[in-house]
Amino acid sequence: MSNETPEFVGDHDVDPTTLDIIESTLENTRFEMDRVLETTAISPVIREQSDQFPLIADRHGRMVMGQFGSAIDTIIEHSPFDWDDLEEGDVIATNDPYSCAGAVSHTPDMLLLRPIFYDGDRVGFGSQWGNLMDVGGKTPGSMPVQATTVFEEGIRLPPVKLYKAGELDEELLATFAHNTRLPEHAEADIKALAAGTAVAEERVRELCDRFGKDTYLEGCDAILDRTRDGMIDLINEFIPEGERYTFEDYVDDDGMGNGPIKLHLEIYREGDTVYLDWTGTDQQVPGTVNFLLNEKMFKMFTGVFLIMAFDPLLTFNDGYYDLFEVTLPEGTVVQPEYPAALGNRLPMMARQFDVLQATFSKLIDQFSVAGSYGTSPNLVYAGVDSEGNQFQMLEILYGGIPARPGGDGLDGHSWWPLFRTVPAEYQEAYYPLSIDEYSTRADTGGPGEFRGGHGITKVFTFEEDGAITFQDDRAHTYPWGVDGGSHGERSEKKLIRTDGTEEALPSKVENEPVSAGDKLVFRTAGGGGLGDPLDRDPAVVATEVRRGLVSEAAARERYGVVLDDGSVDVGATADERETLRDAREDLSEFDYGPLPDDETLAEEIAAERRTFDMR
Amino acid sequence: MTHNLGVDVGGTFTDVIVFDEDTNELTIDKVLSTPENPSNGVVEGIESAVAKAGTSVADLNLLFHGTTVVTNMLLEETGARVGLLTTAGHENVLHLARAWTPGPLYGWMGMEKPAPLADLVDTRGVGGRIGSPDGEETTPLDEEAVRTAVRELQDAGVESLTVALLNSYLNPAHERRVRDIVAEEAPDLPVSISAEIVPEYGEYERTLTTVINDYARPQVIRYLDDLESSLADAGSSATMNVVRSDGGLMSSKAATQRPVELALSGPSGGVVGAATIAQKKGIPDVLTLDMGGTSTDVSLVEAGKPGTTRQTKVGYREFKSRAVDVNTVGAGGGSIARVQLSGSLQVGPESAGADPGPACYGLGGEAPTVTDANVVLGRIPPSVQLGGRMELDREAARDAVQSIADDRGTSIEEAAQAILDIVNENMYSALRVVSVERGYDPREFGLVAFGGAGPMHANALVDVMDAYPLVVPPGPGVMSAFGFLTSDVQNEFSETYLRTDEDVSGDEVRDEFLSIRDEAADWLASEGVEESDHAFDYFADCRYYRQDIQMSIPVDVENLRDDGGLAEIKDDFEARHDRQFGFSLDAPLEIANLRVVGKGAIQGVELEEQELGDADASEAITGHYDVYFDGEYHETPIYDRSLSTPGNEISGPAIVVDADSTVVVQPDHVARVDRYGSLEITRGESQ
Repeated sequence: MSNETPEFVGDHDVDPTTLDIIESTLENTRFEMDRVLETTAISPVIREQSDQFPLIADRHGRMVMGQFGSAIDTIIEHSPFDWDDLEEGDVIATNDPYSCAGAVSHTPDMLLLRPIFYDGDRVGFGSQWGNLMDVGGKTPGSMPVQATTVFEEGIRLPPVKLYKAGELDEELLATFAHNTRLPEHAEADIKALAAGTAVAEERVRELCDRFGKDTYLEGCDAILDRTRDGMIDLINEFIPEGERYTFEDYVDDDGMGNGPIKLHLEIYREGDTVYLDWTGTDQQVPGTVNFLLNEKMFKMFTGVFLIMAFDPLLTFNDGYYDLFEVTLPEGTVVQPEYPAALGNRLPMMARQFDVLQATFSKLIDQFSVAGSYGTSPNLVYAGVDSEGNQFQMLEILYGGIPARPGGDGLDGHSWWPLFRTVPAEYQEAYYPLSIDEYSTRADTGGPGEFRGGHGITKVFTFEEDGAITFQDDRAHTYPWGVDGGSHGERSEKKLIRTDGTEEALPSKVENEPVSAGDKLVFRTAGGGGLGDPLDRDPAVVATEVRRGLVSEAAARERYGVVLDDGSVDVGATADERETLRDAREDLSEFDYGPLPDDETLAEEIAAERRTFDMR
Repeated sequence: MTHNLGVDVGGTFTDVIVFDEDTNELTIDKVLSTPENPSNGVVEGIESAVAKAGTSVADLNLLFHGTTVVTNMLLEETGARVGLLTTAGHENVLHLARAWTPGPLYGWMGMEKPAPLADLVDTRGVGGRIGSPDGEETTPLDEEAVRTAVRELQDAGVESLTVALLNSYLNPAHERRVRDIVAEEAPDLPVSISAEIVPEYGEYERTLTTVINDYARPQVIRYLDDLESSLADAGSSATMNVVRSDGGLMSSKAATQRPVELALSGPSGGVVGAATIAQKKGIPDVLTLDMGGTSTDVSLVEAGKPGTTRQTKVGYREFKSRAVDVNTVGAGGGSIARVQLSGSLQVGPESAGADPGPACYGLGGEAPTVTDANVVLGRIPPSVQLGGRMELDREAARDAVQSIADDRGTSIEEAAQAILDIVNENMYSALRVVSVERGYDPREFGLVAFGGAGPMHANALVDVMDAYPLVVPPGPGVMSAFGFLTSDVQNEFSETYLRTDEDVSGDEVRDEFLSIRDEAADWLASEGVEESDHAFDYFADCRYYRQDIQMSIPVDVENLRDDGGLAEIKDDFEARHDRQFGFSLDAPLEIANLRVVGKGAIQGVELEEQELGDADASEAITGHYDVYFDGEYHETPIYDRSLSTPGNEISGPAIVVDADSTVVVQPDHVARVDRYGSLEITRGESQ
């Protein structure tokens, strides 16, 4: 079974240079949309952490340029209006994952969609979504850990026209904002998103002015088509036909004592079509880590991986969707059924990426990437300060980037593109806390010829009573190493109360009360290593020891590098490496770390939660 | 003492302009740079140029010096070994950076992140804390730890030291105390404190900017010392002014304190010069286009003033330093064209550089470049010697461009035209970033084109943008050096304010501005500017509370008094916000920073106005050549610019050959030589 060949495939009557110009203008527009949003938004998650995604689609709703693939047809399908009901100046808004097949995958993500008209005809769409600070629900930030339905995760707008023919529906916006904890933020950020989509409208219209509407529309088809051609070449060149490859990995738990949660992926190719099958993945879980994976978005992820690995200059868009055939079994953690809770889908999303890159590592000769720090950890600290003012901080944290072909993983960086840390000085100026430490966790990145990136330690001292909610993962399982590289180390959390007592916390915690003076120690996981650590350049190991990134003990025990007053002792290193080589077992393709069997692990996870809940 | 001199040291050439104060005559010279010992090349260039101008080094009055020394040091990572003192627990501030990885998804797989300029080996954390937001000390500075760290770092061999402590932008007391301790423990070690380099929140950017300052300092100190003593040996007693990234000037002593301000010294000169020329012609609003061999710098000039920015980027590193708001794109004469897997044509950012350079240089380059496309289409006629020295290998250019034609299945002319169209488009995109994106309509602007390749492409570009008139100044290849001569002494003083219009009154803001002005006045005095020549511009960086926008609003401090309050600032901000983003908010106005730019005028050059003469330019025609425009070859006249005179009109298509640049006049356009010797190109025909 294969998809139908899309109608844009074929000859295009558009001058190739004009086509290149249309393509590069759309690409620039995409970045301009981001810049407008980042500068005008108020939410620090958008402005400092760039948690936003712009796209420009053709008149049929197919993404021509952007980041995440388009679900415009699904959104229209779930709305009370039809394609023909769209008017110039309309802007559709939705933050309901179930109304767009997961195109936004949790309620704080607000998606705005603006049809673009020229001379009365629809010529495309501009769309942008971003993570709002709060949309109501059970916990500040609207990402509860312990919820079992989406109703606990805040107000949901089904696809509705927020602007009708250019007129903002103030009452609708006020109603939505009223249901959030930070109404001014919500209102400002939604307007900023709308301003971002207006950029797309303006630029697409200018292209129609410049080249004519018909040429522009033909150009969109041609851009989709040539990306598809490029993808066919990549698939045929790099994905072997015939064999089936599978990989399995786990998300720790759902924050309610259920885990480990298995993801299972099988990939194979027949002709130009690549089959990706998630059958064998665990059923959905009670907690909030379910990930409503949009099928098209997953095709996008798959294509982007191939493009970034082998031809980073190829534009990616919806043109190659028919080349990927995806199976997402209903009722699994990657296709949960309404009204499952979705708020903390990030561990599942990150693991889905880990599994995809691991399966490709098996599939593709000479190309491997290790496992990541496992999620985009986030932390919310909220309360009412001594002067009676509400405060609510939301922060995304980072960990070890996996070792990659030809290079080490980066320490404490973001696997998600374009995110940035919030400056400690910003946090200290606007929220009642201080940042005592922000440092690299030495030795947490998996050793390898290329080592995994290290996790980070961030220590917060809270200055007002309040409550914290956070989400992390890889506290029970390990980021795997590949091709002889070792696994990375796990994440850890603890609270140090004012009286000095220390409490270890699970990786997912909801509304944990904290008092002024309490400290939170937030440690994220490292990334896995790649290749045999005994093949790593000893001079690099020595430099990293001097920089405090690798301990002298690890240099000796893991890398076989013996130092003499900071420099490599060449003879002793050769001896040590030989000894280690002789003593060890054959290196495996994947190193999952010292995991117990599934049952024991499940019991450990359940016991941890029981103990924590019963404190 | 009747001559002023501007000198622009680039990676390949050093450009020199000499201005004779008695005759208003300009003399241009160009010599090869000497990167291995930069001051030698400068001194040779100066000696050669003054000889050409018929004067001597001893006769120089004012020297204006712009240099890429700092830019190159950053790109090539050849600066000093810097020690870094941070707040304990935050030693990894540069190593962890801001966690940023490039887009799209999986962008991290190919990311190259250079190691911090201050090695972790040379970084030490010290105890002590300033609280936020009140700026009070919460933990005293651990002075013993500071002493130990300074001694260790000096013993280890660091050549300079950065002190960057958390929250120092609110209260620099700890940083200042550390500097005092360094003066006791290591009196010869240059040291910078972050609160003085960037008094703004954001520990990563503030630390990075200060480290860059110290990374550049030892070499800049040596370089300027060498240069001044060499010039003194040659008999000069001229006053040296160094050109800053924001286009202003500072003394060489000030430059040795704050070399980070020189990071974009070179490109700023061209913009300032272009602004001066356009202003003089009565076109206060212009876009500028400076196209060289590997890249193009574009910027926007409004009301005669170049836009400035606080965000500066050199390679991977983005730091905070005031600079002319120049947007750089990898589009130059040497940019290489290639056909992607998908069939799309890409031009740049990869460049053939100067060696081997474009195929037509005949130095072994085989990749098709923008210059080769110009050669194929006849836009660089045989009489032109590129870089003033080499004969063109036209066959090699054709072979290179033919490879693109083969890939695309087109004629060689179509392939060459496509290369030009794409590179022009890339420049157009860069121009849109500084205009359309910021709420300006390019049709209301003119365009000033310079740099070696700018005048060759600009006419086609303005045709698309409708940004007329196009102005090609005299000496387009040495525009930066010319611009230096038109600069003023200038420095910016600022402080983080972070107050909303609900918290403070206009009078309070005015008092704060005036205290910053006093600081600026002290600096101008120390730079030797008479008090009567002092001028101050005031800016409030505004946003809605908690936005990240920082729109710089010009402020008339007298209007802040009494009832005036902050209304004028807020109205101006809201109007700009609405123009740029299409919406405003019912939210408090937050003033993030207050800035005062202190200026002292210097007269470096006088533009001489000439009488307009005959329109007939036929005297300047040196021959004809087949040049490809609009899909066919036209027999096109070749003009020698040096033979043209004010008032001359040249109808397109035409090629105007200048000593250091070639001007292409498109069909249906006319170029007029104006009173100042610039070519002004508009649509239409000659009268």
